Parts: sequence; structure tokens; C-alpha cells
Amino acid sequence: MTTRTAARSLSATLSGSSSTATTTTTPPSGGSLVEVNKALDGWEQKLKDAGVRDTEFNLKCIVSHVLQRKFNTVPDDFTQLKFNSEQLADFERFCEARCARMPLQHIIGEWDFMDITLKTAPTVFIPRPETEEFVRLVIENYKDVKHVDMLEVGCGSGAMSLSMLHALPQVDATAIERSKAATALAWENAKLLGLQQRFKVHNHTMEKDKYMPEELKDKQYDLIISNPPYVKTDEFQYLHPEVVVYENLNALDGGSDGLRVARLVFELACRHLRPGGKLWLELGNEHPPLVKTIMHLKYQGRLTFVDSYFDQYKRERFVQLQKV
Amino acid sequence: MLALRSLVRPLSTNLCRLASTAHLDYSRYPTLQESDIEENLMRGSGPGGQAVNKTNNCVFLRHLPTGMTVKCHLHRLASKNRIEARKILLEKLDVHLNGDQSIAAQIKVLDQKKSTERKRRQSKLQEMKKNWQSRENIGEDGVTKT
Repeated sequence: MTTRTAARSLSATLSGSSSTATTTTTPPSGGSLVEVNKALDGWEQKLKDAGVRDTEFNLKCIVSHVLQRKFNTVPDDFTQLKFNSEQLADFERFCEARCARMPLQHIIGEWDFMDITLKTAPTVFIPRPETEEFVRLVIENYKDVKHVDMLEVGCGSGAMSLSMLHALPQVDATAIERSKAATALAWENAKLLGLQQRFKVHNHTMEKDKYMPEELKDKQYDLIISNPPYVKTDEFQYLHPEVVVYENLNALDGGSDGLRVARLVFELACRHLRPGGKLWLELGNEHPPLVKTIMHLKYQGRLTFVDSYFDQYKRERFVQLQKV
Repeated sequence: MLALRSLVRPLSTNLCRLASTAHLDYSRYPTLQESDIEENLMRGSGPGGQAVNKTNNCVFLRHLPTGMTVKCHLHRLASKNRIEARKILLEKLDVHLNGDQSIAAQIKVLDQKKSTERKRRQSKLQEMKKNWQSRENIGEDGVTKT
């Protein structure tokens, strides 16, 4: 619990304005410039000692962020780049945070997902690269469909819905999300991307017999997508600090077999999919065969298992189901 | 995989469109077969997805028929680097297969032509200026000699 509190106070420090956060005893010395390569001295080893992998990449991300430059415009060797004293203080603060294993995406405050850039916020789940492959697959399946009414269950930062909307103009998306912070962030991201006209997000916790918020209780959709929490509770002891200390466990915890929330989504889909409508889910490694069995045993006449798919790392993780 | 394959083609056609002012011959430009590519995505073993938050962005490609390799870490995202790496591999493959008929070589020739043309014009202008100066009896400092 102490690590969690420490993490929280660290994120408060990071999100605070830089002038108040850097209350160092020595006042910054005017406009003196420091070479980036000099500022980097020792940090790579400190990061490695803290257990951070891909240190070069981490440092380049932090340097680009501090200089407010796009990642791909910063040379790998940082020649000719300089920090002013304020930037140097920021840089050291961010590196310190990374040594404490704060996720890089939280330090930077934004991250890319497919062709869009999303703001990140502490406690809101950071989209994973596998999810890009998932969304790509769904887009591939719907790119020629005339109009799609889509629902996302548990949208987090909005990554899946917003990248779908960005890619396909014929999609209208509604999302439900249990976390207030995530609901606000998803809406903010929608506005930043200019997609708010086709996106609605409702703060709602899905429960048995109250799957949807009151105002959506009679709505039906052509497509439901979800990346529900699917990490088995047993697995939590093996997770990296970036995940277990800094991320919202509600977005990860899938109960003893990892399908606790997915089961609620099955029930929701039975009630809110149009006949022939599809439910696409991103799940864990062992889940697709399990879902197939569940469909056969418990959902005959309601949902059918269409197919399962592999992510880019060759793991069978995605499923497509259909409302009968 | 399928989606990536379809992404490669629009990218190369985009390239054509961008370079449309130069009269480049794309007829020999190769296409990539996904089955010819060995891709090394750095994710490692262990669970993926929600359970980990790794940010590896680097993508390695090996073109099996030629043994050519490409490494790309230009973008923050591996997904973008996968597309970028295929673009770079295609360019390399073009040079490898087509030599001085490759797009890169064609662009080089065009650039050279442009620069020699520019130099020719500059020297011509210089010459005209000199002729005019001597005709009008003006010195190098611009003062009329009386």
C-alpha cells in the first residue's frame, strides 16, 4: 500500500506545474544552456539499475517530450540539442519518475495509438500495442459496411472507439465506462480529435441486471467491441511495477479465470445486439477456446462463436461472436 | 498481417503521387510479399496484453530471398515502424534489383540535371553582367569610371 501512495504523490508532482514542482534549493541559473548529451550522463545506468528495459528509447521519449519536439524529429545521438535550466529540471524529474517505474506513457502525458495520439492520465488504463492489431482487424471487417452503430464496453482513454471513428466515417460510437476519470479522459480525447459529434460516453458500472445506463436501456447496436479486464487474479503477483503500482486494477482484474467481466459482456450483448450483430472481444492467451466452450454450453440460440484470431505476437487472443 | 499487406501498397502509390513532378518510371518498382519477410517483433515471451506495459518500438525485417535486413525505430510505435520498415525495405530492394534504373537512381540523375542547369544559368548571368559592365564602363565597385 505504501508504494501505491508514493506513486500517487509522484503523479501529483508530475501533473503539477513545473515551476511549483521544482522547488529546488538552488535557484535556476538564468538562461544557461546544457547539452542534452551532458544531461543524460549517468541516467541510462540509473534506469537500468531500477529495472527499466529499453533505456535508450525511454530517454529519447523523455528528451523529445521535454524539448516539446516530435519523437521522430529528434536525432538518436542528440547532437546540438540543448536544455535550458527549466528543461533540465523537468528532464531530471521525469527520469527520477521513470526510475520509480512510473509508466513512460504517464510521464509523457500522451501516447500514440494507431493513427491518433491520445492523452493519458494516472489511473486510466494505457492502451497496449496488441489492441492496435485488434482494432485493425475490426476495421478491416467493417470498412465496407454502410453504417455501423457501435457500442464499446469499458472504453478507458477511448483508444478503440476513437481510432475506429477516425478510420471509418460511417461509424457512430457509444461507450460505457465505470471509471469517472476515464470517462472524462475519453471525452477530452474525443474533443481533441474532433470526433465528439459521433462519440458519446456514459459513466456506468455494468452489473447483473443493470448492464446499461438507464438512458440506453432500449438501445440496440450492430457491433459491440470490448477489451474487458482479463488478467487472472493469481497473475497479479507476477506483473511489473508499471502495471501493478500505477495502473487501475479495475481495468485489469478478470477474476479467477479472467472472464468475470467478459461474462457480463456476453449477457449485455444478448440484450443489446441486433440479430446478426457482432461482438468482438480482446482477451487473454487461453481464453478463445474457453469462450467457444461457454458459447456451446450456455448461449445456444443466443450467441454463436464465429472465429478467433491471433495478435501480432502470434497469440490467439481475439474472438468474434454473433447474435443469433 | 493481412491488413499490413494492404497498407504497403497504398504507401508506395502515395510515393508515386508525391514525386509526380519528377518523371519517374515506376514500372520496375518491386512489390513485397509478406511470405518473403521474416519479422522480429521485440516483445519477448511471457504474457502479453493487459499484463505487461512494454514500449518496445524497434522492428527488424529480413527479406528472405535476398537476405537484406532493415531496422526501424523512427516512430514511438512499433505498428508505425512496421509500415516504415517495409517502405525502407522496398526502396532497398528496388536499388538491389534495378540498380541505375531504380527510383533512387532516377531521382539522383534528375537532381544532378537540375543542379547543372542551375549552374549553367548562373554562369551565363555572370557573363552577361560582366559584358554589360565592360560595355557601360562600370568598375567592379559599381562606380562609373569617368
